Amino acid sequence: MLNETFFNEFTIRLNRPASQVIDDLADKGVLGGIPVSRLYDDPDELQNLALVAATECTTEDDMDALVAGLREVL
Amino acid sequence: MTEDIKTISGNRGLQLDEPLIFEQGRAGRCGVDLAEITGTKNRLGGTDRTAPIGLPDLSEPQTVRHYTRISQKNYGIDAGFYPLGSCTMKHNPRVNEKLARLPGFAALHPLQPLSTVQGALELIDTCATWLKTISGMPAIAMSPAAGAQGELCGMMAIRAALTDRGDARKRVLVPESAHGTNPATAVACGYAVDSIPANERGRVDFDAFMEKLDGDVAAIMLTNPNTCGLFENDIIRIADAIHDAGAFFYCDGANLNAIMGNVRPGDLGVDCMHINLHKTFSTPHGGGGPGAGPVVLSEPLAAYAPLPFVVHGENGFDLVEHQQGAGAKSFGRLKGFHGQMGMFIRALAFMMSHGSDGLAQASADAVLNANYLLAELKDTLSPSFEGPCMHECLFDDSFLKDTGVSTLDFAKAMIDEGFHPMTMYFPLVVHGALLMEPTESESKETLDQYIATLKGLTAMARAGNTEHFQQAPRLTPWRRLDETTAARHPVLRWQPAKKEAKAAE
Repeated sequence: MLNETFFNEFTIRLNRPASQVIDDLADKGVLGGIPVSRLYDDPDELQNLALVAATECTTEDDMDALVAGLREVL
Repeated sequence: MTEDIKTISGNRGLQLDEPLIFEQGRAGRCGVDLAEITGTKNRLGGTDRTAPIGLPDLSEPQTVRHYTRISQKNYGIDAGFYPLGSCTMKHNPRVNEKLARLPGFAALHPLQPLSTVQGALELIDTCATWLKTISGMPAIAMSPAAGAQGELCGMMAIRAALTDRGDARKRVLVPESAHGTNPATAVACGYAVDSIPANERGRVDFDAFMEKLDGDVAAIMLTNPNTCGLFENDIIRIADAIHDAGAFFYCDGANLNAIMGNVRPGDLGVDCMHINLHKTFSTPHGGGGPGAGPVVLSEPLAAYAPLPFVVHGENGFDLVEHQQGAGAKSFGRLKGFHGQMGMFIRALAFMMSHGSDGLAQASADAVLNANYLLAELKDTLSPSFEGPCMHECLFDDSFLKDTGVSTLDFAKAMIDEGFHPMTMYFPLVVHGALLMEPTESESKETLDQYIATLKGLTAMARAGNTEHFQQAPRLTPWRRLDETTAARHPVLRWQPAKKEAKAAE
């Protein structure tokens, strides 16, 4: 995790490109966050970063599914 | 008279007097009771709230009543006739709303993996195809959020194209009757504005235009039909002359409802034009948005369109979000995400439910309705120009001469009659303008009631009943507001009484 303090979202560093990880999660029915490379023009150094948010609509089941999904695909 | 009745409560029948929500709050009153959170680590990094932030405390029924009551004070197209010229306040078909609320559209996140949003990208692409077909143009930028941002998009594309060919120019020609956003956009893009006068028929004075046209002109910004509701007959000659001078033709598409399905702007020589989906294609507006202002572009401008945009990729639809390298000509991003998705859904629903023949019919009916108003009112009010109009009709205030009643007074009296007033004092090219746009949505019965009301009010004004107009509106929750003080000393947020007294000193 890159930022120790946050409001509604935080950034994590993965061991491979975030877009691949998030696509793999999507195949499992989990929308697991946003590859930071989609937000910036110079994506290379940011390619392993993912931005993850929770809202008041996110349930505990959703969070458990994300954690379980990440364990599987990483 | 009703206006003399004073009630004890301040309510007027079922029109309830409603204080601000802040004035109703009582400390400790509660709508929702949440459990204390335990077992989590504070990750706010020292930015925790240290004092109350002053939100009012209300119960749930109080809150529900507050918002219900203020919603009942709205006047919108769902409540009645809204002939606001240049705004195309047409009915918002409910099928549009139903489709926009489908969970597969409504619950999307704009940055979901592309494999999970192929349907949404296809919808954007289909909507783009319809708009390109209707306008007869080869390319489109879907992302601009509204008309004025569409203008900015178009003029930035023109500037990028001129800069790219090493031919930076300094001036933009704008007719006198233009929407105020046209010159504002040109200035925002670094150009000087050169105004073109109108002729006695309310169109661009072609000779005056030719006198101003030279190698330093980057573009003309022209609305067609123009803001007087008149078709610019010289538009093809103007387009040819602009192109011969190496400049571009920006068309303000605000009045597309007059020609949709009947005339293609691309055939008139237009290089770029924004399309107000919230006007012509019936997506809701009038409450501050959201609008949507896609911009159609000619071949010479297509490469400069903003990011992101949808393309047909190897595995379905793709989204170009970044451009790098020598071929990258896009002028960049105008807006977060891909455009106003909810409006694309509604606009496409409007287009597909009408079909191409239905769109042409809608436009023809809009023109017919405006000409019906013009024909019925031309002997009572004073039309600004001779001959038929397009989708809106324009009058000046000479019919009120020597009555002591102004355009503003007349409009206020219309509110007491249950009508939203027409556009007043715009366009600036006629004195005390009254600009009416009925759209295709209105029935003959509604138009006849409106015509009878305007005739009746005019007779009252001419009979010397000035007081009736100067005191209007009488039947609204609030009477005339102090617009001068509001402009000079705007109070933009509520503050507790004590601080307010201090600020007034």
